[in-house]
Amino acid sequence: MTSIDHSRILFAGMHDSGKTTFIAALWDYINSDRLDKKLVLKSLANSENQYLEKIRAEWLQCEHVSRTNLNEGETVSMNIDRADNGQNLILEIPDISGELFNTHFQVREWDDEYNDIVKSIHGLLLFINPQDKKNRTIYLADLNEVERELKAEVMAKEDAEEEECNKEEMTKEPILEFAQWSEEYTSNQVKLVEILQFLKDQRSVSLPLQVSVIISRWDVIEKSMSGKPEEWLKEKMPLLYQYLICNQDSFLSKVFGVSAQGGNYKKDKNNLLSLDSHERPKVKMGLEFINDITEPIIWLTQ
Amino acid sequence: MEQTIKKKICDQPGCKILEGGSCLEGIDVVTAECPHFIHRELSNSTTEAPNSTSITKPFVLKKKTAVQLFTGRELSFNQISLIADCYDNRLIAIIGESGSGKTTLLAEFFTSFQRGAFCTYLFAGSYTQIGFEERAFHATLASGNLKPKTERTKSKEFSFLHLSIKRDDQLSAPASHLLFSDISGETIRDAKTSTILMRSLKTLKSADFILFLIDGEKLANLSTRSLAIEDAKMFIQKAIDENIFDNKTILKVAISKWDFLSDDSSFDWQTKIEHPFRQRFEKALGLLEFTRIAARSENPKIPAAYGICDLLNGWLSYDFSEELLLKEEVQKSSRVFHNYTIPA
Repeated sequence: MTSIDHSRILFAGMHDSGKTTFIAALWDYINSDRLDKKLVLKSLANSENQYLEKIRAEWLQCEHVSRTNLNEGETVSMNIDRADNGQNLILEIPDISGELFNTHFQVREWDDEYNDIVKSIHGLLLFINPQDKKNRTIYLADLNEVERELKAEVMAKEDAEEEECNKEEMTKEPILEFAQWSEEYTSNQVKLVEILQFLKDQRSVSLPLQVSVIISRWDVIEKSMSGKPEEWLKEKMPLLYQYLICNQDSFLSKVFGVSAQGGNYKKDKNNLLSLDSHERPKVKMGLEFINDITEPIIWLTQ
Repeated sequence: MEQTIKKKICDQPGCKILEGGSCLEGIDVVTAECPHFIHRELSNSTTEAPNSTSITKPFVLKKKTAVQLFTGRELSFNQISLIADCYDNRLIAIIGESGSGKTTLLAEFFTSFQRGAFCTYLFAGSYTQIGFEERAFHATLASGNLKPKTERTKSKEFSFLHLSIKRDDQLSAPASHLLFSDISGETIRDAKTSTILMRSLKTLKSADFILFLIDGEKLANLSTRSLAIEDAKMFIQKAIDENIFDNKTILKVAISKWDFLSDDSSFDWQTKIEHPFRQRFEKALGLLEFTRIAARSENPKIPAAYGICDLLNGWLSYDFSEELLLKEEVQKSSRVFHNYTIPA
């Protein structure tokens, strides 16, 4: 049986859930000269940092960070220490693109190396893109007739555009009345619950796994949702919320709203560029905002 | 000329497998896969023995071993031990003829929690999320349908869906685990006239609760009403006569699609169904109850999931302790609630 290493933390989330931008901002924080840092770099030994430096450079220039230049299955990791007590932390990022987690849901297996990570982690950073239309399934019963027709038209138009963009592939069938279920139609909240159930099933550990749920792009959400990030989760992804609060013997969770970019690059780029880089990220915990992107990681180690 | 050959080596320190000894972990490497027993390419020149130090490409062709995860799909009867061995649980058999709403009801148990807390319950997990997703798909916008539909159950064998829930005021208490059975309506239809088919439904004897659905849409139509009622009576009678239902059976008869009937003053469900069914079957069964449900509703007066809270409350609050005490007094009981043995 694998023993728990209290310093390993896993990054997880679906495609485009905000992991990469968070990692870029975190890598900048760790390498910055900020004096009050809570996390500091321990070692660059045995690491390939080209990718981390590339996304850091993009982030510093307020450009959208790249996700796709890693080899499939390549794991990015960071070896860092807590500044206050010297606790060593290994941050494991097994899949930048998020396709890995989709694949686990689809093929119902993962490799033994990933299983070793799963069995040895102490904490999990679970990323959610609040603007992802796939977060929740739209049931026809929840729409009135006009809404159904309008939404069906919008979906058909989006499908047509997508097919136009992917003419070479042309694998996707147009939606027919007798379309069959496939994993692509399953909502993110169902898939994220499944990821947690897989973890619970494979970890034969009595201690609960701490989970920082990170609602990315919080600056966009804040305009319509001024409450706590936890309330967003309860309202918008209720299945995941219920699962977490019902399984506190397996998962201890806290929800954070995180803006790793610090704002909108199109509208606020000059303003963001004029700030010190560590002033850009914003993290909302409860009703409080702080400029410290490490807070979700620090909470996992407490 | 140098050639490369693949040779198996063991990279685990202390393992004697290549020296004629046994695997350190006791793995039979001929028939099973050992993560330490790997291929390595070695050069094989004419002047050099392959077991020398001339490893030309020291990369390891170590195959990653796949770790299987649970499938998420419906479970067979033999697979429900996955839940039954680990958790206290309740097995609920949902039966009825084709179109009576079995699959819609099953899907609704899951989709309700995707919208938020349901009744006083919260979603605590499911080993069969994909099984639920498949059943709910034709009620989603993504299916391309403009009205919710349900694909009929085709399986002639019982399959099972798992749902774990907690009361919202008892989060620290253990979750309740429900196992719902699903089987094709054609099987139920044919079993009422076939001893062989009815006896093949002996899984029903292992169920804690049986929910028999009568299609409310057929009851709402005068041309199909009488036949729907008589078909239900015939199934229950046949199940009693073939000893599939007995004096331990807890049967609830539900009129489904109540949204079709609620405005119909010509239909008195108690006169047409409850009273005659009680008179005929109550003495032969452990418990006989009646209810009305509408998993989905097209009638604005009847809310969606009508009657489903009461079903959940009934199944979860039923106290078996009295019945179990009685069972202990019986030397040879053919029914085991939580191990689900099928009687011979």
